[in-house]
Amino acid sequence: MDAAAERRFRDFVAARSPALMRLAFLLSGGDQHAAEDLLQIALAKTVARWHAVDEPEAYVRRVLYRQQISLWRRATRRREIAVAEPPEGVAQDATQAIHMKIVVRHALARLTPRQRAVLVLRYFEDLPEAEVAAVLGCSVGTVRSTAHRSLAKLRVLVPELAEPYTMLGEAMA
Amino acid sequence: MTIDEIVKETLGRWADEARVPGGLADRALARRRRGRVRTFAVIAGATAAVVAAAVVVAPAVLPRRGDDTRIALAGNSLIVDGPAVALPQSGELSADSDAAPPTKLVATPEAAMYAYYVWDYEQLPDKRQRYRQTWYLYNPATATYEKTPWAVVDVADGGYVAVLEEQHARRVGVLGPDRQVKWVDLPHPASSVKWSPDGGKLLLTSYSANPHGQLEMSGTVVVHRSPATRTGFSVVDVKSGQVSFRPLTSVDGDLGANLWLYWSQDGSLIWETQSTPPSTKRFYDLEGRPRPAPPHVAETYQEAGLSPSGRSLMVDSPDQSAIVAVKDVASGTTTPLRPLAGHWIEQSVAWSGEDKVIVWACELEGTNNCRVSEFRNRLLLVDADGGQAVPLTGYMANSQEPGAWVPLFARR
Repeated sequence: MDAAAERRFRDFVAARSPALMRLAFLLSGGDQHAAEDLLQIALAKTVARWHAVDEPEAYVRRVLYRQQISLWRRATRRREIAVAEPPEGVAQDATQAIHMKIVVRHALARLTPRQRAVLVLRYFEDLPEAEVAAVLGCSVGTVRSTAHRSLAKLRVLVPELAEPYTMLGEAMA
Repeated sequence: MTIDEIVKETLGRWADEARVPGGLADRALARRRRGRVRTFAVIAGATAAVVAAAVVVAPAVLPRRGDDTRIALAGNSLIVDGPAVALPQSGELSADSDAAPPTKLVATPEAAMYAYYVWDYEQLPDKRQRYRQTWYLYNPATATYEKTPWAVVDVADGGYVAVLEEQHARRVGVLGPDRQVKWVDLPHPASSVKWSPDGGKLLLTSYSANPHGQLEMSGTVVVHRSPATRTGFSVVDVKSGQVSFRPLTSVDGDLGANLWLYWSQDGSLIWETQSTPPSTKRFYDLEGRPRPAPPHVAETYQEAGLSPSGRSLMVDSPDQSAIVAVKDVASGTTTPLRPLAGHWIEQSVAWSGEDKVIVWACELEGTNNCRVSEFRNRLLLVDADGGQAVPLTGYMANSQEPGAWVPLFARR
């Protein structure tokens, strides 16, 4: 990598690392440490192919998703993605909205990497199913079934999602 | 507000809590340079402190000269009267196809599941948690797997068992057939133990702290993980009990706790996982000096790796018809392990002879999907040519959730 290419890479990281870190953080289920590891692996892979990468941000995002999903296949003996136990009730003065925000986050953290990745692509990145499938390297049918199962699991983990309630001050239909 | 909207809003607000670390570009660039010209610690072999035989010296008084110093100490022989788990050298296929984890012996004529562990999180005060493995070892006398008190276990071919008492252990032990343990003290606490392929040595990986250390939570979010970097490794000569420690640090930004060390197939080298292309493994000699990878093994992350003779290699499937494939290393041709007998094959675990592989598989739904989830899976013995499959265990509910079990195979 020559000096000009290195400068372009530094500029890219400086400009895009906040957005990429947000994505890595969600994919890691809110684990800051794991998110930093994940993003650094993706950036290292990007550096290695910098001369051949036309759209670096798209490339990093694709690596982030695939890396996170593939971890389970080779890390079953080393798995340490952690989640806490569900909160044992909220403080008396906590609002229902805050409680709901916490329990939904907790439920998202308990999804599998693939399930969480599909939801992040669909709902955080707003990608249509076909693009989600392209990023993850699977069929649209798999995306659809995984999204369905993920939401079903969220409903199991957060029974309130199946009931009318108020969140963040907004009335629910 | 629909569930879609709730998920969308929650993700957006949650992402706001991500902190952007400094130096990301520097670390990525430095990592790339290290990959090309990796510097390594100079081992001060001439100044190594070799303590007189049969005298076990407390680690605190060992002479040390910083990270470059090799430390050696003598211990007692770890030779035991026989294997802790004695099975017939060859035998019939034995399965427990409805149980997960199994209670009856899981074994093929060539390989046996001598042990397994169940992982979960131990609750600590103040809502902190710690990753924990609970190990079960097969007992031929009772013909079932029995819970052990050990924090870490490894089994050599033939059923010899090495153990650590804690996740950050000051000594390593070898179990005898009477379940008595012979111990050797270690210069540095170790968190992983691996038998060499010939059963003559033990490899122990050391960290600055327990790599499964505590997680601090804020509500439901992990806000801090106790840092642990790899410091080096010890090699124990089983016959003499002599221990040698070499520094081999993980560098800032590496996946510290994931950098366990393993033996190469012939026992002459050790390796760690490499997460950046082009290679899947980084090799070192027993002095901790970088060495080129032996042929083929660094092409794959598949746990089963090379077959016993080195003729075949388990690899990721080159096409989407399967996840796992068998590569003939001489010709380079690959045979994807496509859906078989109602199973979608997900991951290789171990070879059973030259012609069969033990794999994880889920229950096939449709043509390329798993019923319930891909994490509901069982152990399966499959022909390397994809011909036949035999279930070895029942389906575990979810391999990614606390309570999941992980098998340990060795040759009989």
